[in-house]
Amino acid sequence: MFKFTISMVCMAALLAGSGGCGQRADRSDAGTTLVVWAHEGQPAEKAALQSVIEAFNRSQTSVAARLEFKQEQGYGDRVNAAAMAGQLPDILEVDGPYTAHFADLGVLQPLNEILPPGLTNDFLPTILQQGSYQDKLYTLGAFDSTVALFYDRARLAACGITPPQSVQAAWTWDEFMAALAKISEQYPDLLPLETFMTWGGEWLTYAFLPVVWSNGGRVLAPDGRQAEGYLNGPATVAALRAWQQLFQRGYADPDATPGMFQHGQAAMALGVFNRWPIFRDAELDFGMSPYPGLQSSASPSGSWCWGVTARCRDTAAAAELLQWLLDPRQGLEPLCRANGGVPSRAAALALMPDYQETRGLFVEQLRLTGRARPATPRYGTVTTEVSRALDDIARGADVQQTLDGAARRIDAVLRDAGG
Amino acid sequence: MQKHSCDRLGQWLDQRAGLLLSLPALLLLLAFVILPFTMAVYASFTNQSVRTFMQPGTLAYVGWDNYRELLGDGDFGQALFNTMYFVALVVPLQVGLALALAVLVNGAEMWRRMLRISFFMPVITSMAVLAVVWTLLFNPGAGVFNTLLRALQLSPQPFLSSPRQAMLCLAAMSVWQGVGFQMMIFLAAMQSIPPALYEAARIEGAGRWQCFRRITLPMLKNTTIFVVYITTVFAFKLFVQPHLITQGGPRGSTRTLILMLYDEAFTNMRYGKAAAISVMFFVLVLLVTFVQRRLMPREERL
Amino acid sequence: MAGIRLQDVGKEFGAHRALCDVSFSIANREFFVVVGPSGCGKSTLLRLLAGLEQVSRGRIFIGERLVNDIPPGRRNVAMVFQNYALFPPLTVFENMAFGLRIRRLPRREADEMVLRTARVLELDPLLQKRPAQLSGGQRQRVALGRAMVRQPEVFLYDEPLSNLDARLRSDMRSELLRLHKRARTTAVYVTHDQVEAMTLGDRICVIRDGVVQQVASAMDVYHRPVNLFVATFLGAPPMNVLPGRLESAGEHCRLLLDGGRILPLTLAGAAQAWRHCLNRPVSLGVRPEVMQPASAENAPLLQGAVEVAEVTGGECYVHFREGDARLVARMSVAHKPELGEGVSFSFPASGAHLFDEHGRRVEAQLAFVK
Ligand SMILES: Nc1ncnc2c1ncn2[C@@H]1O[C@H](COP(=O)(O)OP(=O)(O)OP(=O)(O)O)[C@@H](O)[C@H]1O
Ligand SMILES: [Mg+2]
Repeated sequence: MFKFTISMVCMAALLAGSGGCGQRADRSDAGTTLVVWAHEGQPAEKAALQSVIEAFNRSQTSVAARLEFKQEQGYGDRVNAAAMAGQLPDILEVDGPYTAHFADLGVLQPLNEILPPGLTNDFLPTILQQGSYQDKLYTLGAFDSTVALFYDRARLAACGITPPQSVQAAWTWDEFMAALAKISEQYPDLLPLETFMTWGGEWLTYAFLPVVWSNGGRVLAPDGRQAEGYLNGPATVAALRAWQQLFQRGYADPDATPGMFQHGQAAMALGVFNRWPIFRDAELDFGMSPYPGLQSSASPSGSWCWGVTARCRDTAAAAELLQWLLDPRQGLEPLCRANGGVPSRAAALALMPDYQETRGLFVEQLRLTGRARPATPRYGTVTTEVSRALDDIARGADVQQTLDGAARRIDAVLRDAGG
Repeated sequence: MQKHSCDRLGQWLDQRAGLLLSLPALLLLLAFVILPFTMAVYASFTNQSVRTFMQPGTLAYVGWDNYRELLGDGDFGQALFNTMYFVALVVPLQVGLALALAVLVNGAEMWRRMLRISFFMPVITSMAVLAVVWTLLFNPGAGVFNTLLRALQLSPQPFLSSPRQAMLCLAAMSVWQGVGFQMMIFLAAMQSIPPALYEAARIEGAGRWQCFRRITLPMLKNTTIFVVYITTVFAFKLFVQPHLITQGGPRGSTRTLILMLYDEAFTNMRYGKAAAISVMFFVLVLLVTFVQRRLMPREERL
Repeated sequence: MAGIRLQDVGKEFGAHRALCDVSFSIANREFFVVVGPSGCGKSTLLRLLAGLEQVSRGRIFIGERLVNDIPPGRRNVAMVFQNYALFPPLTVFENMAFGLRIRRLPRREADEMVLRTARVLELDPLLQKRPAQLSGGQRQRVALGRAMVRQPEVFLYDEPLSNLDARLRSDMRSELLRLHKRARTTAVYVTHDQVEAMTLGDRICVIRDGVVQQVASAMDVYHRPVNLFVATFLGAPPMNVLPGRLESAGEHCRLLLDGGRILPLTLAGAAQAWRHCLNRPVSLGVRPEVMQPASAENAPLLQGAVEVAEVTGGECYVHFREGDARLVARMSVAHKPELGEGVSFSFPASGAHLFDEHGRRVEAQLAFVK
């Protein structure tokens, strides 16, 4: 029971002993050393980042970057602890939606004055939205992500369904439901739609909030200080009632084991961008259609991104490294090739015609309908509550009641967090 | 003179040997239990959060606010209920089953080693692995349990996706996982019962059941009391299973006090409120232990 | 009331033969003592009678009933264990009432029986205590009480007094005898203490390595041991054994002891009993207490220098060496010799036992030729 208090004691100890640990940039005659923290991703992704940093260190002599990987599990907690102990690095990789959290805590400093003006011109709007908090830019990512509607060409053709290929022509919810109805009629033993619900947690918030947005709903008030009236407002409730029908009608299954589409057991899948190589390698004959919407269209976005911590003194050096990481040729291309992410800059896309050709839909969708998750200093609370609510709703819980509870809990935390 | 002072020192040491020997333990207790707990009590009356750490000026005394908030909304009540429900399910089940298994294993001379190992396995297996396995077993669609039920012409159950059954499932899984530990304690106690007692009882006419009821059970009384205590405390601390398997759902039905504490501290980063939960938890466990002491027979020297 | 009969009973534990071809009968109300060295199978025998172990072969009757397949609880026997085997969680009262409770006797009747037995054993003040609160002697009495309460047909005792100190042991011994005379039930009593065996037993059964050597009254076992083993096992200090050779010498015989001494003898009694020993190795057994200091009328037969002289109150045991044989003689303390002093003893021929080369008793009356 004292686990928590013990951790507080440890934090206190860290605070006490935080004197002069050489974690931060030191400018000596030899130049500046920047400590960089990144999450430990897939081996390919990790290796790519490693070589990008090495290339940076070779490219000049005034700044040296020292890359430190931290486990993805508990990465945020680790950064929080380091922040409280005053042991932050100079450059920090942040999971996109937590930008506001770290900005609010004072962990990150705004990039607006650090980066040369005009650098952000060709970035995806979703990346800029994700990186902004209270009108200032705190993070920029090398790549973005989204979710598309993957479908089995042969089976849908057999049902006489031709899913739309362009974002402008995306299915409305009714068209989507009609297609699902047809599929389940034609293939009673097939799961019509795979939703990867059992991944739980952040996936639910990320993948399904667009349904809410497409109906004009929101999680938080525009000022980010309140969930009451938004998360449980009529637009959100209506959207999630519609979404709940997916499960109620048996088109999707909250307990389906992930991998059904890949194994030919599902006709469609709301799959994240990195399913694409998996489905390709499974030699499926599949197509991609944009994320369907209710009143309008919306689609998921967001990924890991870079920020400069408040403890970084040599912002010029930081800017140099950030520009390298975000350089279309030096940073974006190798990183995106390693993890399949959507390049965050148009200039990089121009260097990757194959990407544009096979996954142009991702880019188009992010440009036109992509939207970042809510920017709030307590994103952890918001996503926990939202994902739990979504899970309950998928299992048939009363939508209004569930969202009322979630909104109340979120507001209690936001009230406490407010300045 | 020298010798005299040596004697004095020896005497002094003798008189205080008990205290001196327990000093290291007491210091550790102080450092890792009493001190943190005192800090927690203090923190529970403040608005301590990740923010007050970064901006010390914002730290404020908030009186009973954290407690009022806890008692005011239904979440704490639900978590309290869930926790107590789990304890009420698990303690009798796990202690009873542990005893039954111990009897079984003790009786099966040929298979004793094998059975003992197989019941103890889950105890030493990582909970993260077990969580994955049991999630699959409980899966309403393709899970083993429902496949079995369907094979027996019984209707499949929603298990973890039903607010009514989820906690039962976690309890079943926890009992299975933990029962080997208590079984080992019982087994050790049973093997220290002199066989002559059973022989005497058999000559007096006792059958297997009578032997169990009149010899084994009474001889295991102290052990049972101990096992009930530790099982209760373990059960109160339920966290990993709901954290990994159900994330407290569905509809908060597996949200326990510790899970709530964890959420409050690490998700919401409200350390003050989390501290308030930990204090309430401590008081609760204290209370329950106290009631248990009153209800249960006293331990005896045999 | 019941006697016990064993027919060709054998018991093996795996390859180990614990008992072999045991056959004897115990009369109703007899106090039957089983003695033998450690590991000879005494407890095994008792456990077979109790039903705690199954015979490997042979048959056991209690009364007229074949009990081979009857479980311990229905043999109507009671057993007192060496470690008492009292039930620690139960009070003395409940320990004694245990069997009655199992048999679901009406509570009042059962309580009455316990109280009666407790009175006999003077356990009344202890009834509400637990075994851990009792002394060894008190526990012993409770164990006895538990056995007695049910008034079984047969009592089985497995070295019940061996955990008590010497004084308490002799007190309990007479107590046991008193109780047994009173209860008049059959008792089988296992011990390796020969004093217990001699004082308690109506008859004594001597076992060696799972084989019964002799079943006879205490007097017989002591005075007419069937073989050297029995002869030397019972009696303390043990019987002196003088190996030698029996030779015919015209009218009579002479015994050539290994040390070189020659004892002229006559043997009377059925000739076929002893004739086969002629001109063969034999042993002469003489108990320490029949030895007398040599005197004018008693010519010295055994001589040597004193090695040890043990004083046990009124008498003393003198250890000396005659040739290769170490011998012991009992004498009055008044005549206690010094260490190293030369002593000479004689003994009456009627007090000597003759054993053949296989150690078997030779039935013959011995007399020395003057
Ligand atoms: N359950 C058993 N399994 C194997 N061997 C046994 C078992 N019980 C007894 N024995 C063996 O049988 C032999 C006789 O044992 P028993 O206990 O009857 O001896 P005892 O005469 O009572 O000896 P003591 O005077 O030391 O009690 C011993 O050699 C013993 O090792
Ligand atoms: Mg024995």
